[in-house]
Amino acid sequence: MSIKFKNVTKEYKTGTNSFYALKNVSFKANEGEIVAILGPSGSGKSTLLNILGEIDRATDGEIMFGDLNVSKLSDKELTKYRRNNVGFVFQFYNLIPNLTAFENIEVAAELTKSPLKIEEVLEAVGMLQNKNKFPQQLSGGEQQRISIARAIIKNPKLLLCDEPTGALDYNTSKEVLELLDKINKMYGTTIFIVTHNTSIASMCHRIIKLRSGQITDVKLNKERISPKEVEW
Amino acid sequence: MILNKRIKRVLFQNKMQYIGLIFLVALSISLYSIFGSLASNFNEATDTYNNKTNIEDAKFLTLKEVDINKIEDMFNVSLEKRYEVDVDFKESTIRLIELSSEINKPLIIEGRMIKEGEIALNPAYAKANRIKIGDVISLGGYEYLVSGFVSIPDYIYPTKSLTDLMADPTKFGVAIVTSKDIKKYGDLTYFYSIKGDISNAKKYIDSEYKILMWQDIKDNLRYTLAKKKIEQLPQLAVKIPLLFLSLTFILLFVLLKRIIKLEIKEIGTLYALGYTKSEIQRHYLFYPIIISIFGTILGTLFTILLQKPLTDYYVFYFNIPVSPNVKYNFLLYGLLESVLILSLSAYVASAKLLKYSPTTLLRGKVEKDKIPIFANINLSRFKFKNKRIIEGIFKNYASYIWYIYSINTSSCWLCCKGFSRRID
Repeated sequence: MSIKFKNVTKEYKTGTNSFYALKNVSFKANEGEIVAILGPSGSGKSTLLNILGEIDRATDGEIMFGDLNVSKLSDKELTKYRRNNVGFVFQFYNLIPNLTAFENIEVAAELTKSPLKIEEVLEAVGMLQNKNKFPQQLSGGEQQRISIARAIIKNPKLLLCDEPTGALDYNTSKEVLELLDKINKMYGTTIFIVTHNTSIASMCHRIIKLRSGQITDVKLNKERISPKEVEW
Repeated sequence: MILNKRIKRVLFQNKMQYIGLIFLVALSISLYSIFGSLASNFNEATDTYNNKTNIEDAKFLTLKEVDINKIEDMFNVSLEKRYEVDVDFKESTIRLIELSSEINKPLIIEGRMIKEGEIALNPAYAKANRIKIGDVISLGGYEYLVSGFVSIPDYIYPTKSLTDLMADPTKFGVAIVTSKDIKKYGDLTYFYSIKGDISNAKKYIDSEYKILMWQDIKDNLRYTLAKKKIEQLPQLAVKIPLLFLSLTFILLFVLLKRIIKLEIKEIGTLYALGYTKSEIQRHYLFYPIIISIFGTILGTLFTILLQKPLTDYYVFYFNIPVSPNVKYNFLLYGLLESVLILSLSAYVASAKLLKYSPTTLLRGKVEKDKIPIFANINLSRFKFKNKRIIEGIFKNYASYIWYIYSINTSSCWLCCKGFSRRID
């Protein structure tokens, strides 16, 4: 699914003051791309991701998911759209602590009519042997794998990753990046990765740089490397 | 919903709190059904009792002897003369009452009806003075075999004098003996019991025989006190359980609010996955439903165990034979009431937090940091340890106000209860 942002603005108002988290942001990403969103803290990366994921609304501008203008959808329609088309991966995994790894994935699977097979996805993320463990019995990397499995079980067209390696060590981070790359290749999922780590951008098809809510650079990565080669 | 799989795990993790809540619901539902059943059983029993015993409309005493047949013929009434005499038994007094045949017919609660040389007593007095069926007791020089325990309709609540408010079964009791037996005593007093169209009869009796005392049944505390207490049962059936349910409402509210606050990040995640507010709300509404169901099961058990002893307790004081049937419809009402009230609690506890946007919830914090109330208080003259204690109190001042209120209320309640018992 291609994504198109046209003059998207997100404004927060507190009394008479207003603050722009995003201002006139425009970019385009093609279906099946891995897109890195880079920028310092407070640059609007997470706001952009939230608007992409339909969990936050833009104040102004147009957002096209394929041929669908999602900025015109009602809250109910947006939830329905998110249910079927968007997967989230969070920095701190956000797994439900009282559910097993399998059940955590099931929670997402039951939202869609035709989810992928849980065992298959667990196999793909290398966590089939841990399916009956609770999150607190898993390491950070393992939890992030489950979190990715939960995000892709719906077979979403769009996978949004908010600092997916932010809480992980070097080796585990590379494993997670390899997994995202594998998912991109296996299912053709469009993936957006928000990160502080500029090295991660080298494995992405497209790189968007943000500063103070505005895009400073959008470029296609012609010298894309595999996640195994990514070093920092 | 897969999410509901976590409910039993959450319940198990906080088992002591939830057991406490289930216990409170059980207590509330059992009290509601016990008192409700008791009220219903007493109502049914009172109607039957009044019919069976043919309770008087009034009792009176006249200056001159009344011609019973004449009055009965003249007016549409029944009239009966009944003798009474007070005799001492150990440290107490027994009022022997002549066995009547038409009005105020005694009803045997346990044992059998008296014959000549036999006596039947009110059960509270018999118990207080350790008199059993089959015992032989001596009253004023005459011996009687105790044939049973009896309920006398105009003495349902047996007080010695007409103006007494409290019955004391250790000091005073009533008993029936045959006409032949009662006439063995000297100093007999008597009253006339009348039933029917009494207003015209009363005027005539007063003009002909001069009424010295007239008491309508509605003014007879020995009957009305019991009636009023029985009439209060439905109120009791509502008030006490409601008190327990209110307490459960508050406790569940506090507990669920705490749990939901700890889970806001997960709730935000669920929103992000595509869950709707109503789906998540429905999940949290399962908690009160489970608590109510388990509370009702336990409450039913309590009811089955306690219905008979409590009915016996009431029968013991009011002397009306009542069956200890459990009315299961009250358990059903109790369940519905508890589901409704506790669901409201869960709804209120979750509604405020669930209205936040997913992005706010995903931050894991929805409330702004408050400036501590003690920030502007100079605590420098206190020792380190005391400073921490004072800060702790100010930090959780709402909880401490609640603790003080709870201790204060329970102390007052205990004091008042003790005081009222002393008056009793």
